[in-house]
Amino acid sequence: MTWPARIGAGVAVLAALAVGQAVDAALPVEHTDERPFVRAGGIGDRVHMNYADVTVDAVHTAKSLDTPQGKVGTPGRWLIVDVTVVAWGRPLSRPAMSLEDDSGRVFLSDPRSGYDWSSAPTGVRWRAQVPFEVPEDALHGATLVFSRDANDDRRDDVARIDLGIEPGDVAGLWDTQQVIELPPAQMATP
Amino acid sequence: MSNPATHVGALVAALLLGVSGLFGGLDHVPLADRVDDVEPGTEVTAEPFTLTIKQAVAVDQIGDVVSPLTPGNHLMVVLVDAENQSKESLSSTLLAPVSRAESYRNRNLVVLDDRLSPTTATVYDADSNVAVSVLSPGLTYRLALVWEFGGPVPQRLPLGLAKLTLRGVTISQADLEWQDPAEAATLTLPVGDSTKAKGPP
Repeated sequence: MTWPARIGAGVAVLAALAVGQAVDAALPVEHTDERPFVRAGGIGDRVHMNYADVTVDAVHTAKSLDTPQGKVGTPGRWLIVDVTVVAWGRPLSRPAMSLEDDSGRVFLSDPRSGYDWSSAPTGVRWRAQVPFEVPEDALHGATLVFSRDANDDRRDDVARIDLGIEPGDVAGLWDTQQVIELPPAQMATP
Repeated sequence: MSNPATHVGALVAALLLGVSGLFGGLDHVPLADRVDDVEPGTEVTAEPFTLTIKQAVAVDQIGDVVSPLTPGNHLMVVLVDAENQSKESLSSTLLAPVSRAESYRNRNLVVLDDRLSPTTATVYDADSNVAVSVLSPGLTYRLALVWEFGGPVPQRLPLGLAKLTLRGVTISQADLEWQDPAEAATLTLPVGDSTKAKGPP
């Protein structure tokens, strides 16, 4: 390749980069609002979303769980959230459930607890007990966050359900020696 | 190297390297000079965890739960207290040790003896012998890190501790992950031998 051709190729590459940068800057990609639509509720509220209704029926604690692998303890406590879900339109196979405390920490459920969602069929009440390992200071103000997909909640409905744990409830929930066996997620009986 | 620019570039690079060498830039720096060597049982912060590495034992199996896949091999068990200092639940794989060759991976522990290099390590709850996958923030777990190794049981297990940094992944800066392992400390554990092949003391 001759020198003028090399210089011409370099200029062409730089020009292409400049055009790309100009297009990227002109498009309003950074200003796209991708926040989820938050549906808030409390214990006993049926929180409606476009893919499911979710109700937190109760919360309780345990010192350890009785699982097929044996008794599984925790350095904290198992905070067990009883939920009833009705999926709309299609089965709900892999919803994401996490617990958020009032300092913004996020807790997920460990498979060693034996918790298994399976797949909630469409249109029926699907009941599950979801266990989270938490320290004592995470109990007050804990909120269940429920979304359709663990990896993507952009512009989708997300439920945030306050578990209603007041400061006065914390000692009672923490001072437990309960051993609980979690039933598999299943259809609720009438 | 017919291009004159290449000649000049090579000369400049050699010159810079030479100047750097004059000021010690080419000296070998042993690992022990770069990081602290800590005693077993010492609490060490290796983000996102606070770790207390307590003990190493070689065994043939753990209860009826874990046995080596290859007959004649043993299991290395390292007992660790780990507190998740981050703001979210973390995967226990961050604590599964890797070999020196794989120390680029996003892990907090590196086995510095290549003969004992773990191919696949598993993290167990030390009290129940059940595998742990998720570690909640604000809790201190008693864990057993377990992997299989062949050959004679060593007297010592040298470990490197790495700290990780929470930052956006390459594809999406909004998705944060613990990555970029950097040396934080080293530690050498005496290895207790509880294998059947153990000879008389």
